[in-house]
Amino acid sequence: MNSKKTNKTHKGSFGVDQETAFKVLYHPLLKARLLDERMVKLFNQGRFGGTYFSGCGQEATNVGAGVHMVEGDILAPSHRQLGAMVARGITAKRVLAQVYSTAESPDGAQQHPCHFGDPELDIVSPTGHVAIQVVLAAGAAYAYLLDAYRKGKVKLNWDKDGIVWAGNWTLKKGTSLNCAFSFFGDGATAKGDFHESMNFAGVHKLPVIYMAENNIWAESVHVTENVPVKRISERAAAYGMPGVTVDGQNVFEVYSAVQKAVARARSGKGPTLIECLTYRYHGHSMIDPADYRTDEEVEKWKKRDPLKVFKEIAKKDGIWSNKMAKEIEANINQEIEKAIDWVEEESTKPKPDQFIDVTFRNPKFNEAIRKRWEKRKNV
Amino acid sequence: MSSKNISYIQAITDTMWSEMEIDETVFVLGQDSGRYGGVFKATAWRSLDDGKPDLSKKMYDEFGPLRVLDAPLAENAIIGGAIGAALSGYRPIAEIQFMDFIDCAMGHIVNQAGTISFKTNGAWCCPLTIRTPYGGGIGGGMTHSQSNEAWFCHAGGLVVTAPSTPRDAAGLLRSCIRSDDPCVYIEHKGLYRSITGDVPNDPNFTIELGKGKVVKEGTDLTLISYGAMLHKCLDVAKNLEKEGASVEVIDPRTLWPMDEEMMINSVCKTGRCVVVAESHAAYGFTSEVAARVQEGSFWNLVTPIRTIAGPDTPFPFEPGMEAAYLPSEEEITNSCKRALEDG
Repeated sequence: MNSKKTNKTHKGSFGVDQETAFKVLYHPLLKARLLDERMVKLFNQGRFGGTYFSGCGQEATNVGAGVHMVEGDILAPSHRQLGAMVARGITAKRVLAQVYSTAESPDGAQQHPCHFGDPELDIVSPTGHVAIQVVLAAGAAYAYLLDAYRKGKVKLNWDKDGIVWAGNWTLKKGTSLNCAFSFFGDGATAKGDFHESMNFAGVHKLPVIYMAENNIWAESVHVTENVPVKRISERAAAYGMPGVTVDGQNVFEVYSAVQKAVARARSGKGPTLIECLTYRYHGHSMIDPADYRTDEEVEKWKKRDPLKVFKEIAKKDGIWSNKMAKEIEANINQEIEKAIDWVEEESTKPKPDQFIDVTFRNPKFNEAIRKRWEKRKNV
Repeated sequence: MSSKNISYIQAITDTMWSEMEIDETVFVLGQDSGRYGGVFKATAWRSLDDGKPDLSKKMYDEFGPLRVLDAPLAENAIIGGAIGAALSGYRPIAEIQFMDFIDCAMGHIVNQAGTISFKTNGAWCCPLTIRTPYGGGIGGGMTHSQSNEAWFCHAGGLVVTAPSTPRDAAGLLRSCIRSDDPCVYIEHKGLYRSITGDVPNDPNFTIELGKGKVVKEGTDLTLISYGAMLHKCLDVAKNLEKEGASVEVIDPRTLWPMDEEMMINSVCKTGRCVVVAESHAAYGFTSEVAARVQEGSFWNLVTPIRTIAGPDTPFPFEPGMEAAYLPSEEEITNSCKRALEDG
C-alpha cells in the first residue's frame, strides 16, 4: 500500500476505510486517552476535588459503541464512559466543567467527577448504583417502541387465541428505531437490576445495546467472584438475545460488533449483549492504589493498549497514516489546552450555589425547602 | 360543572383513562395491569354516567397492550423502565401492586427519579407517577398492609400524595400525571370501595399539589390526618361536636412537600393539636407534623401536641391484633378529650 489513493479506498479487515478509521475511530480514541490522562494529572495536582475515575485502557470499548449513536439515542453510562461520550461528540470543555464543578457544568456542579451526564447529548448522569442505568436504558428503549407504535409503524402479532402478543411485534418497512446504549461493568452483572433489564428487553425485543465492560476487577473483586460463567455473554441466552464476546482493546472489532447489534435493534429485532474484554490502567478511582492486582497483569494489558492495537491493525491493513495521526493529535492537544485554560479561568469565578432551586420543577416546593434552610441560620 | 358519584378506585381509573385520552404520552405499566386490569381493578373499567363501571371493555382493550403494559414481575424493571421512558418524552404511570413491594425499587426511585432535575441542573425532569396501594384494615398481613410513605418524604426530590376522598383521588392523580416532578401517589386500599363521593366531570379537574384542605372547620382543636384515618378523625370530630367541642379537621393531601402553613395557622387559632396516622411513629408523619407545627405555634399552644401512630413493629395479621395495631376512634377521641381538658 504505497500510494495515498490506495490507502483511501482500501478497506481493512473490518471493512473500515481510512477516513472512517481516523476520523470516526482514531480521533475519539486518542481524544479520550489524552483528556483522561490530563485529568488524572490535574487531579493529582489538586486542581479539582472529590475523586476521579479514569477510563484509560477502556477507550476502544467505549469508542467502538459511542460512534454508532445518533440523535435521540440515550446513553446510560456507568462511571468510566469518557470514550463513549467523546465518540458521541462531547467537548473537552463540557467534560472539564463537570470535573471542576464550575458554573458551566452540565449538572450544575451537583455530581462528583465522572458521574458525568450531558442532557444536550442525551447522556444520563449515573447514580452510584452500578446497574441502575441498565434498567433505565430498557425503559428508554420501550419509549422508542412506543414512538413507532404511535406513528402506526408497529404491528402486533397476536397468538392464535388473540391473547398474547409480547415480543411478537414487527416493524413496518422503512422504519428505524432509536437505540438505548447502556454500559456496565462485570460487577454490575451480579446485580438484580441487570437481570430485570435484560429480561424486560428480551421479553419485548427492545432496542437496547448492552455493553458489558469486563475489565476483570469490580473495584477489588475479581470477575470470577462475581460471574460464575466463563463469559458474561453466555448470560444473554437466558434472555433470548444474542450475546457476543469481543476484544475490547480492538476498536475495529468493537465497532463492527456494535454495528451489527445496532442494525438489529433499529430494525426491531431486539437487544444484544456485547461483552468487551478490556482493562483499566488505574485503580477504581484515584484513591484506589489497586494493590489487589499484579504489575505483570497491568503490563500485559498495556501491551494491548487500544491505540497500539489500532496502529498495528491499521498498518497491517495498509490504512495507517503518520500524517493523519499527527494532525489529529495536534488538534486534540490544542482543544484540550484551550479547554484547560478556560476551565482554570472559570473556576476562579463564583461557584454555582443553586442546589435548592433545581430540586423540584415546581418552584413553590423549592421555595419551601429554601425557607427552612434559611431559617436554620437563626434557630 | 356537573359531577358524578363514584368510588375512590373508580375516580383513579377514570382519571387515568381520561388522561390517556388527552395525552398519548401517558401510559400505564405494572404487574397484572393489562389484561387482568390490576389486582384491585384500578386499570380495568371506566365508569358510565351513573358512576357504575362499564364492564364492556377494559383500559387494555381501549388503549392496547403497549399503553397498558403487563410488565414482567419485576419492580426494578417497572420503575427503572418508567424512568427511562419519562426521560424519553413520556408520562408513565407505574403501578406497584402493593406498597410493601416498592422497597425492591428504592434505588431507582430515590437515587434516580428523585435526582434527575437536580443532577441535570434543571435541564431534565422526570414526569413519572408511581401509584401504589398502602394501608391496613383489610386482613392483608405483614407485607400487604404497610404504610411506607415516610421513606419517600424523607428522600428529597419526590412529591408524595395521599388522597382521602374520590374527589381528591381524581384531582391529585391528574396533577401528579401532569407534574414534571416524580410523584409517589399512594392509595389507601381500605378506601377503594368503601367510600364514594362526587367527582367533577371535568377532564382538566386538578387539585394543586402541596395544598392541604380544611375538611371541617372548628375553633377548639386541630385534628390532622390522611387516608383511612382521616375518616375516623372526621367521625370523632362529629361526635365531639355533639359534646360541645369544635374540632377542625385538616387533610394535608400532599404529604411532601407539606402544607405546614395551613396546619400552623389552624393550630395558632385552636391552640390544641392531635396528629393521627397508621404509619410507624418513629421518624414518621405524626412526628414530622408535630415538630413543624410546634415550631410555628408554640406560643399559642395550650397543651402539648399529641401524636397517635402505628406501633414501630411489622404489621400483624390476626384480626384482633390488626385492629389493635391501627389507631382506633376511641383512642383518637380520648386523646382529643385530654387535649380539650387542658388550658
